[in-house]
Amino acid sequence: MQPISFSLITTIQPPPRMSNEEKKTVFTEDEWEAQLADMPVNKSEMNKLIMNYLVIEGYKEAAEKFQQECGTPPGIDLPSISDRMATRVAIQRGDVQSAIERANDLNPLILDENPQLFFHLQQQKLIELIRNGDIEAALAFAEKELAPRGEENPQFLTELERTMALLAFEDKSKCPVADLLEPAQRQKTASELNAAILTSQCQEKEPKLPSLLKMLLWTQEQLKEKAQFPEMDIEKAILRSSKPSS
Amino acid sequence: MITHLRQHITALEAPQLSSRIAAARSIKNAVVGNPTNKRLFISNGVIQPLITAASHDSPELAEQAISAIGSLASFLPPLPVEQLAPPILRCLFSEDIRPVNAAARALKLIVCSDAIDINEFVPAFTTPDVARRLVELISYNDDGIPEVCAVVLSRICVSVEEATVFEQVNAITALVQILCRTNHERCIEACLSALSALSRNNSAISRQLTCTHGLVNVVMPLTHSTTPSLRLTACQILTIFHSDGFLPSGLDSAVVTALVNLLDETLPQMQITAAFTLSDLVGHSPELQSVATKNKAVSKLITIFYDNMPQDDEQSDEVDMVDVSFPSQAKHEYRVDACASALTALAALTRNIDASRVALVEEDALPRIIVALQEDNDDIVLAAVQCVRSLSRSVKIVRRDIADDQIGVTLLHLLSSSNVAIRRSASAALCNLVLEFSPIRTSILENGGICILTGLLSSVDDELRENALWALKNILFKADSETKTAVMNQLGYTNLQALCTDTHLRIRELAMMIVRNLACSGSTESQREELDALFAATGNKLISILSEALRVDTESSKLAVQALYVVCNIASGTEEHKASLIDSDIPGLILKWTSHKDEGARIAAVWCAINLSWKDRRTPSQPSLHRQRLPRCVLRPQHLPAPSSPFSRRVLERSDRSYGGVNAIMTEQRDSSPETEMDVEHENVLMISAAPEPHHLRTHTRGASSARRRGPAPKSSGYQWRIERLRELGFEVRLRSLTNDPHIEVQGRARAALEFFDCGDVNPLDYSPSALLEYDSPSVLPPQSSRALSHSIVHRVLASDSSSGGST
Repeated sequence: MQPISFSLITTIQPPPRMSNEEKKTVFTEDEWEAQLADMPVNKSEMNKLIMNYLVIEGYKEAAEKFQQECGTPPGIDLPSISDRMATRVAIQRGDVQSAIERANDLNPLILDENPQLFFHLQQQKLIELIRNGDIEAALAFAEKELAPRGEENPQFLTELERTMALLAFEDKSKCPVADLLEPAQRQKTASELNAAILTSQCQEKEPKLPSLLKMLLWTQEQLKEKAQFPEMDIEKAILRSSKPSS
Repeated sequence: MITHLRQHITALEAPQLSSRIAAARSIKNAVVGNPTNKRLFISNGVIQPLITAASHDSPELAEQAISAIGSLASFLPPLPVEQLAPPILRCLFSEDIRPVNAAARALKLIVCSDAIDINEFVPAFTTPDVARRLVELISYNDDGIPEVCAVVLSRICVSVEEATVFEQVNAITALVQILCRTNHERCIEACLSALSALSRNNSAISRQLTCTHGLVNVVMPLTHSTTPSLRLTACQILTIFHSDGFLPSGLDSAVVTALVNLLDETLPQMQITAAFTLSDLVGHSPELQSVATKNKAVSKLITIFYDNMPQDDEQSDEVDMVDVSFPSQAKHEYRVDACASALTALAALTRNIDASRVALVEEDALPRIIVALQEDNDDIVLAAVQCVRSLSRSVKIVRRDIADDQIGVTLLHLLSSSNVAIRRSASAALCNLVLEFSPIRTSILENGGICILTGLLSSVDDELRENALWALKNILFKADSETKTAVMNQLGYTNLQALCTDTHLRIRELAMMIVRNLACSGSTESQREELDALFAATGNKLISILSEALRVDTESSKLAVQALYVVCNIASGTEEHKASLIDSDIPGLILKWTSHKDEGARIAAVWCAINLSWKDRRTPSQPSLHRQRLPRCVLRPQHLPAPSSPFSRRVLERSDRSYGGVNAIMTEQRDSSPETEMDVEHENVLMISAAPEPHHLRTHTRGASSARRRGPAPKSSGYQWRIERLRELGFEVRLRSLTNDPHIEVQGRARAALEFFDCGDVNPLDYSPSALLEYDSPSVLPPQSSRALSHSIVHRVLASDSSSGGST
């Protein structure tokens, strides 16, 4: 399992002004532990939270194991996770068509109801053709598949023009739109498709656990203004003992 | 590509099942999301082979084929439902969940598509069997299929008829259960949409949802969701609960606030739905109109209106405003809808309160609304007319702000629109704009208003006839002889008589109001002439029409009240005029109405008694000062003779002042409630006409023949004769008992009338001041009594509004 990213920690603003240290309520470690122990947290709720993370992030095997161990239902057809992951992998290796087909097998409404996503997948196809140097095929594809969408919507047209600019440069690295050939572009398209698949499965686009942890850290920062208590160190999964104010 | 495509289509009929499945899958993958390929495949005849494939026993083949069909059928050109329904239904009832899922999704795509006419699909998919199946799938233990099926339900449930079918197969329980079970917003939204569709125009279902299932508490928190579309869906169903009276007061203003905030959303479809929902919510509630106005709804709606006016279409520099997923041809429609929805909501917001009207005018929106009145699109025009109609309900706005002659001319032009809703609203707006204080009254009359309005009377639409009559009535209010002549030249007395005996009671009532206004003059001197003209034109018919109206035996006294005031007005005329009434069966009928349960009818009847028993002692050559001011002091005790004594003069002055006060109150009422407004205008007529007039004959300018009617007074005429006749009929006894009437106005009038029976040739100082004082004491102009008097009329007018308000 990948570690949870806590990049947000650095973005948390320190409290604007520190109140008088003397006025802070001080909790000893024991007091704090007792308070924590008093707070009933339902085990099955915790399990659901973890399952939600595994399912949405696409850890199919972990989810299967977890289900076997604690019996928490995944709330979703587990094979659909691997389908979803397969679409991501397909786009990341440049096989957009197979990603489209997998998405359609999952649910044809995903692309029929999202013209913008469909356009981005077609655009990604065009990028792959250009990357492979298949200029004739790229031109034909742009004319047949992308130009009509651009006519229907001016915003698509801008994006199409930007993509076509790739053709104008022999040395793609000098092209002002070279970013389209970066892995990040594939990543972006893959994420858009992943989010749409999740929505179609009535799943959240993001797991709940990271935002819960973010909220925990924010709350601790708020509380530090008013009290001294053993802070939770999430990375080490320990309580940092509260130091008496000096 | 084409050969490739033909190969796929041919392969659909290949001998091996696996080839057919592969072909169906390839076609599906080629057409999903891809308009170019959809067009290509449809034009190459893919539909029929797909339909055959979808009916195959293999679930795999059926699944792929039905998915392809769904994707194609939601696209142009629409396929006939007879072709589509059988394969979809076959898959929907399959035992394998794969084709079921695919069919439900295909159905969702189709019923949500703008390309189809949903009404064609309703019959095939709302049979009890299909409904039962959909509800079964809504209860499916998953969130995907229930969500899809709930969306389908919300689209195909277009009227109470389908709602009943779904209700009978327990759709409500299924939807409520999933609503309480699921956490997924899409699913919640779909369920709420389905429940909205079921409870629309069906208060029994609203009751069930709120009272049995306690849904208000479930939905209310959703108005704070971070997902705008969910907030909107929640507001929509709460608005339905509100209109059915199941939303606890206090919560409704929270819904208004949520909707007003949704107007800030950038998705046009959201703005449109929010605006329409807002207009449904506040349209009948001044309180909610006020809440919305305080939340700046007026300026937000004006912004939407300005941003979407079709003229601005060319400079479409707001690409970012519009979601990129909308094709540009659809964008124009969104603009039209956005414009119409904003104007409709503005019309609803300004329907009853001045604060929003003033806000609208101060934003200088009126010139743009006038432009919108001349648009090509009927929806925009109708919404703009409704705005003008709402604005015209304020005396202040009509007097001060609606001054552009173009409005009147355009409204008159719209009376020949092919759209009946536009004709109705335009005629309703004109009703208010022809009132005497309207700056554009003259231009409306000069542009053929009378002729056009009279033309509407031959319409088959009762509401249009009502509005036209109402407008003509308002034109005649306090009108001079020229205007009356102009109206009657168009309308014709024969036609008016026919309208007075129309089969439609409301039309008769309005026609009677016209007679009442014809029988009344703004100035004392011309009152006789008006009556003479009326008699000359109608002859004895007038009395028989009145007599017939007074005989009508209905629950409502509205028509009779109007007829009684016509009698009142006639009785304020010469001895001849009075005699023509006394000689008829009318006094007996008046007596009957003095004991009617409606106080408005009793008051009117007692007014008749006062005027019929009136004894005038003044000489016509000396019209007194107060008489010239009569219209303003109509509530003065009319039985009081000339103000010869200091005492009576003081009383008169007091009552004059008091009347001024009441007038102010009434004006305020008018401002706040348009219909009331008409009403009060009307009442004014009533009071003036109710005032007994001195004998004062003068050659009138209209209808030369009327002068001929004036001959020597009949022998059996005069004050004593009238009193005698009335006494014989039992008026005196009846009036005495009315002095104990529960209604103070009736009491006062009855005492006033009795003076003529009691005092004979009394002189002003003999006249017992006690009755007078009581009459004049705070309770004379007694806010409550005048209010009670106006109440009955307000009641009538409001009732009439609800009957004519269908278009609003």
